[in-house]
Amino acid sequence: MARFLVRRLIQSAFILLGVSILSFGLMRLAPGGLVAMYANPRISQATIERLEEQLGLNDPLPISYAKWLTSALRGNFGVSFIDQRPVVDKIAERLPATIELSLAALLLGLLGIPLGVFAAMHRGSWADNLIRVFTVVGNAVPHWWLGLMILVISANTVRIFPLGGMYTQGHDTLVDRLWHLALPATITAMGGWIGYSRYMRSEVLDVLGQDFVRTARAKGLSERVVLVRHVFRNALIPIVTLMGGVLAALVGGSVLFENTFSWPGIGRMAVQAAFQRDYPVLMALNMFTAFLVILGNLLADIAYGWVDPRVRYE
Amino acid sequence: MAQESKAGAVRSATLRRAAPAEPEARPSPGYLALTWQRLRRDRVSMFAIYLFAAICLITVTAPLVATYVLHTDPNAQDLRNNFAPPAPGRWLGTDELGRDNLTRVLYAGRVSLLIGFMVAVVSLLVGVPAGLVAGFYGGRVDDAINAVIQVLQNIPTLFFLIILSVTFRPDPTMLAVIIGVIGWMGTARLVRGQTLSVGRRDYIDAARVLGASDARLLFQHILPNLISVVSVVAGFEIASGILFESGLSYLGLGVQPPTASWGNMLQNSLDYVTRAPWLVAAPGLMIFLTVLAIFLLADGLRDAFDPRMRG
Amino acid sequence: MHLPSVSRAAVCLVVALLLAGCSPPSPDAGPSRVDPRDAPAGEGQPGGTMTVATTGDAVSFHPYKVTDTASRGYQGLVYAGGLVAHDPHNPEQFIPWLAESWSVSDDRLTYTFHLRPDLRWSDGVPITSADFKWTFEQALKPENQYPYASNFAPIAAYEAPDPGTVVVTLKEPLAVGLDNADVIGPLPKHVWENLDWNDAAKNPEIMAPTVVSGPFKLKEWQRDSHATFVANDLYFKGRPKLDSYVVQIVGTQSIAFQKLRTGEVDRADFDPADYEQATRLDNATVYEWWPAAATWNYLGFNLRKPVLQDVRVRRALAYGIDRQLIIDKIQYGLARPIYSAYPSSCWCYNPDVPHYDYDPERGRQLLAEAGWAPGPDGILVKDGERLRLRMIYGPNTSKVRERIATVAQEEFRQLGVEVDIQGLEWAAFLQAVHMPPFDWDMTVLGWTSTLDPHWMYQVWSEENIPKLNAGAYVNKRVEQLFDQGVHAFTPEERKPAYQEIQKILADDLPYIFLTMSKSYTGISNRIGGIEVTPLGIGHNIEQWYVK
Repeated sequence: MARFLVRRLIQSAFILLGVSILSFGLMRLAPGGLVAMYANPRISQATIERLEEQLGLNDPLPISYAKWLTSALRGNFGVSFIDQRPVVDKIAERLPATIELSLAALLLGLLGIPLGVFAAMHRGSWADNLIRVFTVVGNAVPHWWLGLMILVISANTVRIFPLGGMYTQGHDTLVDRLWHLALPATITAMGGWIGYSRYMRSEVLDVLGQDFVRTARAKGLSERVVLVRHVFRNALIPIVTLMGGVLAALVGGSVLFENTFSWPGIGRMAVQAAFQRDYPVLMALNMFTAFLVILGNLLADIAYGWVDPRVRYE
Repeated sequence: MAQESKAGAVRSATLRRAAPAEPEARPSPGYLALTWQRLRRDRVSMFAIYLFAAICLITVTAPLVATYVLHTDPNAQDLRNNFAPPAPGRWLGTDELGRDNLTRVLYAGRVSLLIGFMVAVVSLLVGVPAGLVAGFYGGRVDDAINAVIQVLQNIPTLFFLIILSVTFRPDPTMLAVIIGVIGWMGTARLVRGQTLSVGRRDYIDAARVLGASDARLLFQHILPNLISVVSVVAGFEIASGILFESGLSYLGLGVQPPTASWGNMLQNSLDYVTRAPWLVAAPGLMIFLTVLAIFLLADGLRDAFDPRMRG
Repeated sequence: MHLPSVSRAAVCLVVALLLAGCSPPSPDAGPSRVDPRDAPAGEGQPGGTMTVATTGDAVSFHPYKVTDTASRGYQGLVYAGGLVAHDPHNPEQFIPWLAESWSVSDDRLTYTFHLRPDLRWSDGVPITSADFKWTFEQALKPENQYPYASNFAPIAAYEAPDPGTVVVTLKEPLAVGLDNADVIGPLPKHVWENLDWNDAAKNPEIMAPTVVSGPFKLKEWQRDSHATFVANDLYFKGRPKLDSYVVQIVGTQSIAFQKLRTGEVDRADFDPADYEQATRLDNATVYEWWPAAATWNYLGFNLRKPVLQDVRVRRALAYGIDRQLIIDKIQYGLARPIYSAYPSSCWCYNPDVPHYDYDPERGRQLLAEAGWAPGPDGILVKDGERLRLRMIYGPNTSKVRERIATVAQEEFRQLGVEVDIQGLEWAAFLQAVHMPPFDWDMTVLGWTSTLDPHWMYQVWSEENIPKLNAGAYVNKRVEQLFDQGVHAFTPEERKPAYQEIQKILADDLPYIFLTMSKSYTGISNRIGGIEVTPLGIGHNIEQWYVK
């Protein structure tokens, strides 16, 4: 196990390096650049050239990358091209909002797991069908669209939901925050419901049909014991895989969703930075997310071993 | 205690499995007919099949319907009659440029369904083998594939799409392939996880001991056990392909106008939520019904293929 | 003949980015005609909060570093502006602002401004000419990278002989001399001289200014969520009636509109598609005006392409466009047709130019005259070459531009011209238009015109190819006329030059001039004191009150 971990850690370092090179290259390859920074072409050519020089955009790609890398390894991700503020500050500013929403959605979404188990245990019954249809319904249209429809209908009829934002100005209480969080978190959680419930149902059904379960039942063990001891753990494999992506999902935002709910999160910032070619911000965000994805996958792989003892790593 | 009983079960399973393992795993006419029978009994799935078939039918025949039944063209503008509400002859009204909404919805269906399918196909074609191989062989092979997956999972997708949209002006097919290429990693990881688990089951070891080759193990013993996960994944991929394209349209990177897709029609209609709700309802409803049908069908197929199901 | 370069005071030539017609919810500079402390028939009590919904957050409060509209809006709330301002009721005239009077030397080179005696920064320290001069010197330094540094080129000297006087000397006498001289708005020297001009981490005033001169002071700013401003008692026009002014960032314009409907905010700009509904709201009024600094749309030609160098082809294409249809159906009536480079709100406007109105028959005729004959599929062919044009627009998220392009594509097809349209992501679009290989035939774009007609010269001069003059239009007569216009000094003397320019451009058609947009905004009936002028409504923000 230790050998496995060490190997994976070294590998992860290389993966991060590879990601950084690819991302850097890809970003610079995209048409645009500083030309796009000023929507107003009145800026004189001399000014733009001076700025490009100062920001290192005239350096050949490898040198530019090397500069970025040496700086990043020391923890300095540079300043944003747009407002010259440290990149880390800008990201840290937006992170809490995104994490708040993602965490709430994640917790709510975990409801999908018991739903899936229940559906599997009562396969073919009306309860199973109801759960099947119910979990799909909320996910059969884009979430941001559903959110927008609900908001518009709510605004035009009974005002159940606030029209977006994280809290009401001047009334920043816990209840107020929860009220603002309710709709966006629920809609995002629906993705979890359909995902977790389906994989759980599928896996539980698989496991339920296996011989050792029949044996356990034949031995007279109660349904609950059968469920918890034998079925549940084995059925968790796909859930563990999905959980591998949860870390990154916690800090990734969806720009459409954030726009619909006026949620000042990372997604909006990332898309704006992309369209404005704010390379320092983009590189930092990308590396941060990559780190979380790799960490998440590693944890998931370790978890496989715990969940299913037959999984062994050499 | 639990380990003992498992070991006991495994031993008996080994003895019992070695023989019937083969016929059960190899698809035979009996197996498929059995699957179809099981599917038939599931009312929800049958409803989904009919729904999906109907949607496919009307969208595939869109050009014929448009020409011979409706006598319209999806791109024919009639600005003076824009935002016309639904009426006989203009069954779903017209959009902001006076184009017939019904015709556009039908044509858009072709594009969206194509994208959905292509995304699933690419994702499965690349993701399943990758995950299988990684999970089955383990060790260095697993490491290598994992590394590739993780690097690809982290390239800045938006930039990738921007570059592609400018350089290649992707038409819907190409866009579908691109979306599939961006997304196969999730499938691979899911399949890998399953394979890690299934591949270690004792009857696999038993079969190996009995001299089965790697290929045989993969195709006859492991793959069938993946069908449940794969069919769920396939359902998700088709649905997410359609939904993802809609998000891309918001950023201007989806199917390019004037070609219609449900995604970009949905996106476009947002400006007119209160003014022309039929423009919002039509693509929204079609996406809803299609995705609904696909998910329900995927469920049903998963159940129907399950060799261990008993009524 | 050297032509003077641009001035910040003139509203800049900005490529109108997104949905046309909307003016950002920010107060534009503009004084009242009478003593600023006389309120018009005062109704309503002072106090209260006004909330505004907008979709774009500002970048920073540094007036000499950032140029985006949202930031300028915030800066306009906290910094009072410059020495003079355009009269909101007569935009070509100037009125006193921070300067209570000014005089011009006979040779028109020296402008002497006398500051109001009672100007104060929000911390009580008087605003003096030293602030002006210090700010000027800082902005001038190349290492401070002022994007509009070229504004300083016409200035020979900027002096502050005594605390109440600013003397600006220009290099040459020009009609836009006053604009040129009023080149900066002051920053508080006593605060900023100890701080870093460039680094926001070292200079907190850049992100959160504490010492200001404008109607409001910043109380709090939460990025991408909201910004709260409170009244500045020491504002030179008198403390604003509103106690506070809150800018709320919302994700989309439709949400902003919904918030206006429900009364959650007092002001929102909305998509033209919602205009009709907005006019029927009980709790809000739509204020609209034809702006002097109008935004207008056009189809630009790339004159490097041989096919488009034939003026008959350009005129034929102009005949193919139905402007009224665009106005009615795409801009929902919130626009007017234009046929040349200046909108009807300009004093130099010439209504008497050739109108290439919708006449597809005439268009087909012209193309036939130019040697194009219909091929087997209806598309015109000449010497074996099909008449196929590539039209690009950006950003690809702009629905208005997309619709104009789609409509144009269809209308040109009626003429027998095959048009291929492509929406590009904004940065990619700018690159495609302004950098080689100039692989396009037409674009859909817009300009926001300047208050003084002179500044448009950049768009039509050879020296600005390929930036402002993206289509590579070369016409020496037009350049000559612009030069003439800026070297005369009264509107009567200048008018003939601009009138002729309009005639030439309307006939030569480097662009197909389409429409000019109306400005509008929705404001809750709870707010009073709003006055609509050609410069917008922001000129008297200190007079707005809650009823």
